[in-house]
Amino acid sequence: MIKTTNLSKVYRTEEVETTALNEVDLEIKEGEFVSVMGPSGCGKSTLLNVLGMIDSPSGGDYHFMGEEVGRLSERKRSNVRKHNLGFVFQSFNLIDELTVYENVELPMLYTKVPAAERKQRVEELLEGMNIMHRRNHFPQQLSGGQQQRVAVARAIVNRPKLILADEPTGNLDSANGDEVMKILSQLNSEGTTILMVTHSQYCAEFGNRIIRMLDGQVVTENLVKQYL
Amino acid sequence: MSMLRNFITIAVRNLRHYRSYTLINIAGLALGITCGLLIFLLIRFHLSVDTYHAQAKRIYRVVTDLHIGDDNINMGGVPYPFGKALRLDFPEIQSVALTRFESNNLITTIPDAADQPRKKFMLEREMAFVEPEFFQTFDYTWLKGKPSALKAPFEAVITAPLAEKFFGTADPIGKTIRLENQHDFRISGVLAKPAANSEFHKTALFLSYASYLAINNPDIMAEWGSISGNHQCFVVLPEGLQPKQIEQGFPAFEKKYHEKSDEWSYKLQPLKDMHFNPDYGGDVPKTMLFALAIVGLFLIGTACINFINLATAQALNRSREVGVRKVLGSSRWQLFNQFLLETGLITLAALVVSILLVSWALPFVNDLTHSELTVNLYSDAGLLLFLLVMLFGVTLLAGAYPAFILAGFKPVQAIKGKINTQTLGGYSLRRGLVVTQFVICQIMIIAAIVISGQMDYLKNASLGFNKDAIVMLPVPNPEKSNMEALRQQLLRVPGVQQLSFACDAPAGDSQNSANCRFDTRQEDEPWYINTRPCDEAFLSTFGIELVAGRNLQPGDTIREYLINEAAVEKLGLKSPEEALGKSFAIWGKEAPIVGVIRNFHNRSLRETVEPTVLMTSRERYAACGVKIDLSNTPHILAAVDRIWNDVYPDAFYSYAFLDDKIARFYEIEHALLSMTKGFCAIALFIGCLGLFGLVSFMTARKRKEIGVRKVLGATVAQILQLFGKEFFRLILIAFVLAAPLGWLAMSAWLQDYPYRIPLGAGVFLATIGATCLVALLTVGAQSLKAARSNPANSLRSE
Repeated sequence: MIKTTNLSKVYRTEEVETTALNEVDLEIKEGEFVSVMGPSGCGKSTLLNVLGMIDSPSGGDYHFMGEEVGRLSERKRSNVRKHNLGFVFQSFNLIDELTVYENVELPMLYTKVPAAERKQRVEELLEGMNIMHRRNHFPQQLSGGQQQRVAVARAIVNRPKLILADEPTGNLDSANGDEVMKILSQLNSEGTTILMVTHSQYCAEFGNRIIRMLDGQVVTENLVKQYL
Repeated sequence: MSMLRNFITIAVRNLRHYRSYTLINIAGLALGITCGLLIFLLIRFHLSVDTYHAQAKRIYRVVTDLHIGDDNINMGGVPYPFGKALRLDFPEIQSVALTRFESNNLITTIPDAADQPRKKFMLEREMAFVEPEFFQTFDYTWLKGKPSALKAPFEAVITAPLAEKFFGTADPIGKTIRLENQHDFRISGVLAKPAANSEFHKTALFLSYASYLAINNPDIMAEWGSISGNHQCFVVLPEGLQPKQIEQGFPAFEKKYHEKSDEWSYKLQPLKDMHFNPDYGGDVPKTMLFALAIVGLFLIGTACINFINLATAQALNRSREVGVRKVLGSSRWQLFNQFLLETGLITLAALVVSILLVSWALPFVNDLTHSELTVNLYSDAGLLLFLLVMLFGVTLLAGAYPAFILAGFKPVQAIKGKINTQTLGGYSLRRGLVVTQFVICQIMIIAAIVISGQMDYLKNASLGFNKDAIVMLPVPNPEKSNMEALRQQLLRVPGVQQLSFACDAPAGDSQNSANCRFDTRQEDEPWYINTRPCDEAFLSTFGIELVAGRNLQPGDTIREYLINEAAVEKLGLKSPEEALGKSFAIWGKEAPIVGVIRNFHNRSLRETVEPTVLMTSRERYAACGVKIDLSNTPHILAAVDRIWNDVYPDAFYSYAFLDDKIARFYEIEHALLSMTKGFCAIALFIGCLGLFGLVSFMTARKRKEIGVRKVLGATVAQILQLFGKEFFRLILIAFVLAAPLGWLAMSAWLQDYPYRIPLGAGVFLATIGATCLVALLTVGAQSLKAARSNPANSLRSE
């Protein structure tokens, strides 16, 4: 599904040049659940952003589902993104002025899903996540765990092929964190590919492969024990 | 549709969430749009004057340019025999309508039954003698009767509102009215109230032109040498005939009828020019409308700038949403549209507020500008179109840039809240916008200070005579016995100090000029002299100083002359004494000059002092100036009223204080000042909103800097300096730009006044002082709050 060759990302200011990704070669197959670990500043989030097409690479190739997407225009990238990718963030990033229902519905407005189907899908997901009773609440009226469940619902409502999760449990207590991880595992078992950045070994082990990064490079790749 | 609903939902929720931001934005835009809307209505009203007549494009007024010696005089009128000759010599003209506009006419209603009371009315400017062709030229709605009724003498047509004033609900047809207690007219037609956007909208009583000829000496019909601006001639040209084709025939026409044909030239003035051309009495120069339009655009512009400033500052609050939407697949264009739609909603709200504000302000504006502006959203297509243009124009102007900035956020930075000031257009753009606003504000402050200074000067400058504590009364007829009775009885009233009969006050509406001949010179002087018939008490009553010779002796006819210093100079004499004893003649009456008086202004201070001659001539007296003791005014006025009505029982009593009458000379300046003050206040207010936006933005951006500085030991005062320096620098830059522009504009304006205030440094010091004070009040509280905040808070949040 994902194949990068010499993928680089360099941030330049007038005086300083910072290499966030240094010629990363990586392959992720469909149906995998890959966890990315590493110290702060090692390039994990940059990798996620570049692979999620919300940031563009400075060099190298990036093939997504067989198509080179690293050098696509903003408009085309946004098109690929909205049909294929779902994002889950550490800080949830729900839109404060939209209700739970509207937040989950939002991605389908961009993919022009008919109204009736939108309703059905949102309701199904909210039921599944056990937050249907909160459908008309605003994000700030929910607990962290509830917010992240809404964010996950929003990420999967368009039935993406790949979910990119950036420390999805970072802002949650362990019980809520567990719950979110179980949902992700469930999705993975249903066929969704997942790429997750995390600091937590415990969470990383929900995946089937762990990539460790340092100074913008992939230093090790290990299968999780149960898959050995 | 779903997307649109989503945009509207989030827009409304955001506007509600950031209430103060929304209110500031709506208020700023609403004020700008209100001014724009008022100015639009005003300009449209003036541009529409007399355009509604079916033949408007083919209607012309014949105007006269007189070239006498050094003087060029433009008149809106023609000599009395002109119309008859024009019809004869230019048969190709479709129709010719002679019209004599009148002022200050006494009308008495004559009831059908003898026992019913008569009612008296003073028509200030509501009456005109017209030919039936007047109604073939201009469109009026006839409720009763028809134009042909005005063929015969002593027939009258009246508008419905005036008829109601005269006769109540009774049918006016067939009723009799009496003009100046002498001539009876029969009402034979009723017109609907004329449109307000007409030069003739005040004219409500139309008497047949044939009666004017019957009332006046028939000799006037052969008098090609005299002319009155009130005797006007309107023509309608047939389709296809160009005015030039007629004007080509005028030189021969002038030669045929005028002895001194080189002094006369006629022109056809298009009807649409009448309202605007000040040379021929037009009230509203187009330059004024143009200036108003510029002011309107400035105000709308400054409101938009304000919006841009606030919206880009506010953009930080929306960055995460932008990021999320982009991640979810929104295109830049969709985001742009979303934010533009939000601006559209704010503009729509501002438009609604503006319409309410305009409806509230219209009576004042109408009063101030003598207009009849209306707001009718149901049937006024032009207004609706303007509002629509305003909605889209302001939305684009104010919303496009912030929407462009917001839509351009990089998703990663936006989601992480790492949008910096550079992304938001940076400080320099914001500074540029605020400087622009303050340039506009400061120019308007300079204008307001200069106009109000000049107004004060005009009101208080010495006119060369005493205008205080003088009551002016009309003198309806020049009968000596009446005047004597009035004089003796008034002088017996305690508190009445002096009185004088004259054609008018030293400065007044009524002006009369004549040719003059001096001493033994063989020719008339090549300039006109202003004539002021008055009695011997004129100088003492009005405090006019004699510089040489003596005062006039009492008399009823012209026996001797007084001239002013300007006349002495114009006659080329070296000293006032040189004029004394020399013979002088006006209207063919030769008499000696017995004295020279100090110059006084016989018009407003917009005009220079004219050469003027004073002489006794009872038959020309039309006013009585009474100098009174102001400590007893109500009693004196009551006594004057009673005495005057005893002496002139058939006439219409009215009085006016001379200083009030003179203040009315400056009505245009007064209106201009009121408008400038209003616009200036609004521009300043909008500017303050802009500053408020900037300071909010700065405090938000500088939170960390303030925190760090405080931790390192900075005091509140030192933090305040951070803000102070920034703002005063902006105001200073704005001032450096505004001062020369304001100076140029106001010097040009003052050029129209021969007597004017100097444009000194004080004006500019006051401007910068006022701006600084207002800025201090606006940004002070916010800056202080930021400076006093606990550094732990700002540092923690970072």
